[in-house]
Parts: sequence; C-alpha cells; structure tokens
Amino acid sequence: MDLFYLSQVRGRPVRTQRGDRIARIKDLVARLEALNAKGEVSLEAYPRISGLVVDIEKRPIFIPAEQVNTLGPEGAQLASARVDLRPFVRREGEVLLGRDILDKQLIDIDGRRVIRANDLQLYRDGGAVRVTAVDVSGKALLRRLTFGRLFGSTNSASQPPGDQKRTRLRPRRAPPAKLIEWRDIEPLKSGVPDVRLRLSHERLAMLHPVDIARIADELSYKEGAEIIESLDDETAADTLQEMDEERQADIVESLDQERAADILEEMEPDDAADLLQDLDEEQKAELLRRMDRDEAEDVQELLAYEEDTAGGIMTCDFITVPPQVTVDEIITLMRQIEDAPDVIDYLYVVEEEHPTTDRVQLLQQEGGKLLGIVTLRDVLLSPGDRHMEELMKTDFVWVSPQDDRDTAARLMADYNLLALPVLDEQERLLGIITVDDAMEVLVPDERWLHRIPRVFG
Amino acid sequence: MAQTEVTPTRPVVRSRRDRAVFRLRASLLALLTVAGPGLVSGFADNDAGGITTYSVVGAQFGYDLMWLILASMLALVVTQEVGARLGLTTGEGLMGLIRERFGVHWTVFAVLTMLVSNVGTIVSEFAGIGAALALFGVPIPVSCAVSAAIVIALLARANFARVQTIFVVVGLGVSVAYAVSAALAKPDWGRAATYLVVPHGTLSQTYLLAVVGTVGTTITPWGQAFIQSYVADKRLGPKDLTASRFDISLGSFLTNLVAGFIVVACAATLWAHGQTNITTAADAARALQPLAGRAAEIIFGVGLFAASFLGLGTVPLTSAYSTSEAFGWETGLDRTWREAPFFYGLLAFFVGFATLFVLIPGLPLISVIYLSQVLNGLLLPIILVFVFLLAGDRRVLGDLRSGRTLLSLGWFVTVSVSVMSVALVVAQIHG
Repeated sequence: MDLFYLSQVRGRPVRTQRGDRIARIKDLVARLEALNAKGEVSLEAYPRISGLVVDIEKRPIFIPAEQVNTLGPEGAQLASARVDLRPFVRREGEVLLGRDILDKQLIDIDGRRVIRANDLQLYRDGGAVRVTAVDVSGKALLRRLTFGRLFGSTNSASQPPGDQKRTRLRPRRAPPAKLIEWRDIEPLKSGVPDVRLRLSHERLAMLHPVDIARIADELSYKEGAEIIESLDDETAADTLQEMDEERQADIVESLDQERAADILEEMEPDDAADLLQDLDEEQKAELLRRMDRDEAEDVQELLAYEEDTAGGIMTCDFITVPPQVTVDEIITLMRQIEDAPDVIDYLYVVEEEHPTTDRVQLLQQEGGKLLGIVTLRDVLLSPGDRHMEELMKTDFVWVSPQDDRDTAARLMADYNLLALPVLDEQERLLGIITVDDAMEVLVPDERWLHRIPRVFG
Repeated sequence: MAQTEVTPTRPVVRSRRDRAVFRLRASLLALLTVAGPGLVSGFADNDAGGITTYSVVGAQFGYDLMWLILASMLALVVTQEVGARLGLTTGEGLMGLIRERFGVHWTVFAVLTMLVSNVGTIVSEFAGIGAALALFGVPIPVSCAVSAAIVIALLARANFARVQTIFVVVGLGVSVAYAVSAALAKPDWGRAATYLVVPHGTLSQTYLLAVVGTVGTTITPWGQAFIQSYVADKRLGPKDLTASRFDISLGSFLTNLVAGFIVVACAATLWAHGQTNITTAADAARALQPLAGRAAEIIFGVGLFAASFLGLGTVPLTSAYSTSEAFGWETGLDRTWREAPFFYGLLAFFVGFATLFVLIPGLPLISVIYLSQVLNGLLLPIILVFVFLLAGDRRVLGDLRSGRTLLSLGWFVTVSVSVMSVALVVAQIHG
C-alpha cells in the first residue's frame, strides 16, 4: 500500500532488520521547509519524512529516514540490526507531525479557510515517504479514535501527488474539500511555539485581502499579527482594513512599531484614523510620530471628528480640479499622479485658491470651495476641449462634518452616490464619504451576534 | 453654454438636540448589545435550574447554605475570568482549545461530559416551562409543544428579538420581586449575614446534594464554554482584559445577589414555617406570598417561564456550537440542514430528547430540575481540570497565563468541587 495515514503509523512497532521489536513509533519528523531553486527558504509542496521518534527507556530517540527500510501501517523496519541511540533534537524547518500538526489549526489556501487537521495522508514514493494531504473528514476522526484500526482504506479518488502547477483556486461556491493537498496548506508559527520555521506565508499573500482578513479573523490575535507581519506593507494595509475592528488594534499593538507605522501609512486615512482611535493615547501619539508627515496630518485631521459623524467616516483622499482645465488635460494629468486615490469616479471642481503652475499639484488641492462635480463617465465621453466648468453638476448633494453618519449613508443610498462630499460652512471641500464606508454604516458587521440569539440586544 | 443657477442641495439633517437624544438611545442599546460577556453569562445563570435550586436550598436548609452563595460567587468569578482570558488570548472556544492542546481523544471525553451535562440542563428548562405552565393549568404535553416551538422560533430568530427583550425584563422583574419578598417576609437578616461567612449545617446526604447542586447551578459546564466562546467571537483581545474582569465580577455579584434573595425569601417563608419540602412549583411560589399574596403563584409562574425561556435560548446553541467547533463541523444558523448536518442534528437531538423526557407521566418536575443541577455539579470538576490545565500552560496563554495566585485559587476551586462530588457519590452508594 503506497498511500496510508499518520494515525495508522503512530504506535506501531519498530523492528530491526532481523525482526526484533525494539520500540513503538511515537511520532514522525517531517521537513517542511527547504531551500528552493532560488536559494530561498520556502515550504515544500510535499514534505519528506526525515525520520522517526521513538521512546527508548523513556527518552525520545531519533531514527533518521536513511536507517529505515520500510514504513507503513505494519510499522517500521530498520535497515540494520542495530540502531544509533541519537537523542531527538528539534532542527530548523522540521516539525513533529503528531505533536505540531495534528489537531492544530492550519490555513487551507485553496479553500480560503482555516481548518483543523484530523489526520495526515502519507505516500511512499520509492525510498522516501512524504506528507501528501491533510484529511479533515469525519472518517478521519473515526480513524483517529480507533487508533488507525478502522476506516483506513484510502479513498479511491485520492491520488499520489501531482506535479502540475496549480493554476486556479477552488471555485468559491464548491463544497468544502475533505482532503486537502499539502501544497495548499500553510501552517502557522504561533500555534506551535516550539517549532522553528521561517514561514513567509507567500501563498497566503496571493489571496484577495478580504479572504486573508477573514482567515486572520478566525485565528487568535497573535496569529493574525503573524500573518499581517508576513505580508508586504500594501497588502498588509488592505488586509488589516478588512479585519474585524476589535482585532485591528490588538494586532497593531503586537507589531513592531516602525512596521505598524509603515502599514498605517498605506491604509486609507479614514481606516487608519478608526484604528488609531482604539489605541491608548501614548501609542496613538507614538505611531503618528513615526508616520510620514503628510499621511500623519491627514489622519490627524480625521481624528478630530467623532466616530458617529460624517466627519468620522470621511476620507481626504480625492481629486480636485480647477474649473478651466480641459478634458484632455485632465486625462493626461490623472495619468501622472503617483498615488491615485481609490475613488476617482468623481472629480471635484474647486475654486482655485492658490494659483500654481504645477499642473499635477492642481489635482489635489485641499480646502477649496466646491463649485461642482464631474463624473468620470462624463470625462471619458466628452470631447477633449470641454472645460471642467462646462461639464460639472452644480446641483450636488453634500453634508457637513458634524452631520450624523447614518443620515449621510442613507443619503448616498437614496441618490445612488459612490461618494458624498463633506463641506464646511464656507462650502469648502473637507473630505468625501466613500460608498464602502457608507455600506458598513448601513450593514454593520454582526457576525458574533449570530452565535447568541438576540436576547441581549 | 447656459448654466442653470441652482444652489447645491443640503438636505435637512438632524438638529443638534435630536442627535444628542439619538446618541443616548444608541449608547444604551449599545450597552445592552455590548453588555459585557460577564453580565450576559451571569444573567443566563438564573435559569429554571437556578430559581429551583435556590428555592429548594432555602426551603430545606433555611440560612445554612448562605456561605455557599458567597463562596460560589467567588468561585464563579475565578472560573469565568479564566474562561474570558482563554477566549481573548487564543480566539478559540473551550472545546476547540482542548482539541488543540490535548488532542482528539481527550476532546471526545470532554465533549461527552459536556453533552451529558447540557442535556440535563436543557431537560430542566423544558421541565421549568412545564412546571410554570402547570401553575396555570396547562397540561404537560401542551407545554412540551410550546417549549419545542419556542426553541425552533428562537433558532429561526424570526423577529424574536423583541419578545426576548420582554422576557429579560420579566426576569429582572421577578428578581426584584424576590428581593422585595425577602424583605417583606421579615427574615432573620442577622443570621443570613452571619451565615454568609460562617458555614453551617450538618453534613448529611441531602446537605451534600444541596451543595453540589448549588455549585452546579452557579458554575455550569455550559457556562464555562459560553463565556470563552462569547469573548472569542466578539474578537476581544488583551486590551479588553480589565474591562472583562470588571464586568465578570459585576455579573457574578448580581446573579448571586439574586440567588441570595431567593434563598432568604424561601428561608423566611417556607423553612421558617416548616414547609421544607418543595415538590411542585406551587410550593416554591409560596415564597413570594409576602409580596404578592395570592398573586405569588402567578408571579412565580411567569418568572420561571421567563427563566426557562432564557435558558432555552442559550444552552442548546452553545452546546451545538461547542461540539461542532471541536470536531470541525460546519456550524451556523445561517446554513441549511444539508450544509451543517451535525450542528442541526445536535439541536434536533436536544429538543427531541428533552421533549420526550418531560413527557414521562408523573415526572416530578421540580426534582428533575434540581437533580439536573446536581448532575452539573458532579460533572463540573472534569471540565475545570481541563480549564485550569490550559490556564497554567505557557504554550497556550504565553504571558497571559494565570499567575500563581489565580492558578492556586483555580485549583482550589477544582479540588473542592471534586471532593464534594466524590463525597456525594460515596454517600449515595452507602446511604
């Protein structure tokens, strides 16, 4: 039998070449990480078993794979009549399958979820034994409970590991898999503190930030921090923004402060402001100090507003244009912007307060009096020589920063707006409320309330 | 190009005063929703089992067990605090954490323990509804049907929020009624106060039964899992630890304050007049006579009904979730039967079994409720051993693991409860 399970192997006898039983298999050691072709440390697609751990006279002894002839549900047979009594010592990149992987939480990249390993599938490939898949089925549970004696037949559908590169993730609406190939699995460092793994979470980083956020939300704050730390600044910011609000502050507190500041810089200023508000004063000041001057200023402006007001959910990331600029000029200028805001669906035509020749600068003037709004649609569909002031709509809807955020959100729903401008008393543009933030106000995240019937609220 | 001169619209928004009122209402509501896990947990403690056990204790032993009301309150704070700390550090529920740390075999043991205890509690809630409605002349099969319908509706959550709030208010009302009754019955406050700190009573089988029952109704296995899951689900973290501790202490205090009033009220009205045996709800209701006279039965009935209702809303769901999370089964009321078969299967089992059990003709409902809480007390040490093994484990809690004081307290509670449970079992076998 080439395919078998970990639960069928643990506890089985270890015999010498002559057939003398010397011990029982306590656990298997697998090498999870190795140097890849580029010389970097990365996760192996199908980790090799590098040896067994057995108990001899109550001490854990390591038997390297080279000394093992066969390994399977019948037990292990050694290549020689003797065995070197080498004490077991943890090495870099290696784990104990039973102690560190079984029953622990793992990330299933393909399924975009967190799973718990019920059993592990192993495959004998010539001389080596490899871990091929994680079994999360009910059958695996029963197999474990019967110590591998029942339910051990391998599913005819399961095959030895393939070589093809996976091109696409599992379709979102497909039923969850019972057997997940190891190459789609990412273990977590924080779950097993004894283990020394690098774990760069490179596969996880390829998922949509919302999926990463949902996975991180399932885990503890420490594991969430581990994940955020492993991502690049931009992805980390995108992910952190999507995570449970309660969680965000705990995670930021666990990160290195310089790194936290970098991530905050990449976040939308309004999301960064929300996060900072949940921290204590000292920490908030410290992080603001470490942030880029411009970003910190933006965030600080937003912090001045109370959470449940329009000011509390607006962002200062938007594009302004002077009234005389033409359509052609606008398109050219927009292409030159370095860090374009998320929302460019509307261009805000403002009075030129500070006349400047730097055309690109024109596009992000703050505090100008709002004269009208031009939609991107109009820009794309109008002749190139039209001026902004010809295209703009002056009959626009707006709110002031002290207005209640629920009302602002409902306004956006009523008028089908993607963004709502926030003006001060002199009708100067302070910020915009984007549709995603409005949706959060109208459809709050009540996942936890689902567990407990609404007895208490 | 002609430009229509239209001034930009600014729709009417709320005035400053309106917003202030809105914000006050919103924050009160928020307080209820975000009502700390400790408060919620404490509240749910006064279910059918709670009211019944305290009534029996007060009637049978007078003020002798007041010390236990205080002691179990302190023990409750210790166990709930640990549960909350485990939840906010690991982000996992109790059974999931046991699986993570001790493996699947021990998990099965822990889950079975909890399931047996929870089935007992759910039966007690059904029995509570039966006993309460019996006061109004409703036959048992009808109240079983009512109970089952309540559970199903709760699960569908079809607009039940408002109804449930009513029952919370009713529950509060009845607690107040007990307090007032206690006062009006002219109890021996001096004795009550002294007995709070000085244990009294003779060690007999019934005494042990009462002790284990009282502990079992205060610190329940499901309550232990509940607080941890609640905190984990709300994604609380280390920065919420102080707030959680405060509200757990408050919750425990309030729930045992009510317990104390029930005991005193029963001691003053029932025990003092020699009516030490409570077999029906009507007997227990008499404790409310000083306040309500003939309406005592009505108030008690409504209160018991409300308490059972709240219990039904919490215990089956917590059990189904705990078990499912331990074994990685799909959960969630937003899933269908086919998507989450085990989850719904468990719920169906709870409702079915409890209904059938309560239908047994001639079942002494009050005794059933009381004994289910004794069962909780007997099984509790098993769960507590797991909890405190986890609490002291650096691999689990890291820096937040229980310090020496808290850990010693925890183990003291565990050992004490175990000793009493063993003593009870031994007494039963010999007695």
